[in-house]
Amino acid sequence: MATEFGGYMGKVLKINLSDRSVSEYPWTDRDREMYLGGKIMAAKILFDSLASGVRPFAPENLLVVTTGPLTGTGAPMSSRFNISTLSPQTGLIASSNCGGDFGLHLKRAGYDGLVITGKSPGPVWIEIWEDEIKFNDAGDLWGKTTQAAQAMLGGKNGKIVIGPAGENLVKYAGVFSNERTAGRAGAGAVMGSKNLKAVVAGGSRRPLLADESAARKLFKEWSAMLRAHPITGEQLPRLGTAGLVSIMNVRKILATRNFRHGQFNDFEMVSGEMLAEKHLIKNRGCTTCPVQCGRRVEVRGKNVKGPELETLVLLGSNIENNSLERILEWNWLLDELGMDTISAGGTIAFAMELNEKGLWKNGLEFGRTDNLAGIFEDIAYRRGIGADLAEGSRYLSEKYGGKDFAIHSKGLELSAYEPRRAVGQGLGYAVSNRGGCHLNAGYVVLLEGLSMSINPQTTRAKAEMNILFQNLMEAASAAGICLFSLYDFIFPFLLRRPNSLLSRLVNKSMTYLGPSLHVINRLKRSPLPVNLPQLPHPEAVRHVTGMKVDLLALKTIGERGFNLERLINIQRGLTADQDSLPKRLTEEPQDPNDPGTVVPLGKLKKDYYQARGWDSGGRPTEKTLRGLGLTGGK
Amino acid sequence: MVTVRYFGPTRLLSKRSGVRVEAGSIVELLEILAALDQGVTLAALRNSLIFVNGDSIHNLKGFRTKLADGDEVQIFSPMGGG
Repeated sequence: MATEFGGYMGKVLKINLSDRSVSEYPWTDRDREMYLGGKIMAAKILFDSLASGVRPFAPENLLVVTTGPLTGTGAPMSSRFNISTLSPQTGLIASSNCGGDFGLHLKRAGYDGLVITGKSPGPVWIEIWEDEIKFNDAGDLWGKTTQAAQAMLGGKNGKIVIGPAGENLVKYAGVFSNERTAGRAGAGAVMGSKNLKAVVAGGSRRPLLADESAARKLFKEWSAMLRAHPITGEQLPRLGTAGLVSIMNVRKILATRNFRHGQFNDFEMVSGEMLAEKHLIKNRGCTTCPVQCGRRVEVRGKNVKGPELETLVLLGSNIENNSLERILEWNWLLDELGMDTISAGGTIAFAMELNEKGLWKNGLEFGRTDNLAGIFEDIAYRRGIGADLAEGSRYLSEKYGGKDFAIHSKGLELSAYEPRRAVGQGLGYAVSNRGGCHLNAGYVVLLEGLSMSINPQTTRAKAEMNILFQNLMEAASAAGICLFSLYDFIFPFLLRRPNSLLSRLVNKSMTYLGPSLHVINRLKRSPLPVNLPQLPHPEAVRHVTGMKVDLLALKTIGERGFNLERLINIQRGLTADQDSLPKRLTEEPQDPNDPGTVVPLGKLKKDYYQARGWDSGGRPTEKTLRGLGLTGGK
Repeated sequence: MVTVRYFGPTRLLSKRSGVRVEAGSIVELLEILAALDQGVTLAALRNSLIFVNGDSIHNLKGFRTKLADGDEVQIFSPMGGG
């Protein structure tokens, strides 16, 4: 299905591992206009193709790997691709976004996406070189770690691989590309269930841009803007995502001791500052990214990839570990074994509390670190207690008890932000389509204490903020751009002058802007194009593809994507009850002397459903679906 | 004596994690710190997020917040990205 739009390669490949057939998945220019690419494109393919009743590890489950129109065009932060599938953790949609360079090379091979179905009778890896598709025996790769497997595959092509955790169907196994990870929600386990060890792609094709000179000029200006912004130009390059640990601690949102507390006495020992001072070798990042938020660090004489914020928290404060060296070693080990550090850390913390309460005697203790490297290997190979741990927190709570303090939503462990002091983030965790993810949640914590200082306890305007951010993030992701590009949404003066009268006024007034945000959220088009200079995403899509989109149009595509994923989840049996948080976060005050330090989820959810145009059961109404062009079934 | 702790980019610029000084208020403290650390200007300090014993000075008396012996002052830059 060739395309008239720039930026796309015009072809989506469908690969059936059962009979080793290859065909073209029908994807039209109308689809491109409606769903853009990335995770929204993947959601549409899953919505159309997945039969009801298909289980995550069934051969009929699809692994959909997609790029966006900006991927591989030279746009800043555009080295992204997405993997969507049915999650073995949640049974619902999993979408996982990744840096690395696979997306870029997939486009060079001539494809905007892959739709992989079926199950190979034995270990296999797929080689895609333009029109030549090969199924190769992966017997010698099977069992290899993610780095070893990539080294054996060699060459300069793009690769995605799984490690032993994916092969052994650890529910939170990830997919790896270079040193980057599509970590959340278990796409690596789905790959393992298909006996697919790796996909390698490459070629010499390039996407054509609708207006090349305008696009190149914009990319240059956009890069300069990102370099000049306090977050993307200063904080992230200097400290990486790890820089958040300290401010999270003072804001009391640092997940500690299985989310019992929001502060950790030893937070400085596992902070981004400590990482920069004691271990940092150099920054590292994705191709075409001016930010370079990744890290290379030194630990015990080894030069390894450094941890992200989430890893520092889930394997630091949340298990009461104050050894940064241990975290660096585990981070590397978990990547090598091929699993998500967030769910691994969350599951371990829950198991520690189960042990502490005598519900499951497993030898895991808060603050004890000497046995964890072995435990992580046991998880990857499903040995001993590792077999249970490999199933994740929800499974453990069903087997051993402790549902009130099993810190997950929809089966996916929560990430690093303790939401009782950031209730908008708490709402986001609960309504996120992929479960307890901070990004699909809307990341309102950014306003509730990280970048800005709006009232973190009020419910006012939080639903509307979530919706706006979720829709924008869906759209940016679908375009093929890193979500960090959206930080420029926050005017630099608010960050550079946080104590100014104007900044304080903005912080005070934002929670009274719910009605205005609601109007913006419902607005789908306007007679004149609506854009914000600090968000050049629509302009980039216009120059690259030739589509006539403005910020409202892009936001509407994001809204369509979020609702489409919701529909997939409803088809899989999702009810409003599953938009939930454990009772620890909704009924147990973080501060025993302040009953208000809980997430008032009932009120927040009601506001959110109404503002989304969903009914009281959390289902998009007919009117909402019609407004988004999602009526008419498949 | 007041204990000051730097975090974020400010800490990297000051090249120290903290310092102990005598100061009666935040405004006085910032002037002392600016004179003490070459890497940190008074303007940069006045544009930081400042907490006294865990409370934001926005919830206290801003730069006029009084300091007492034994107080801990934490100085941050606004952050993002996780």
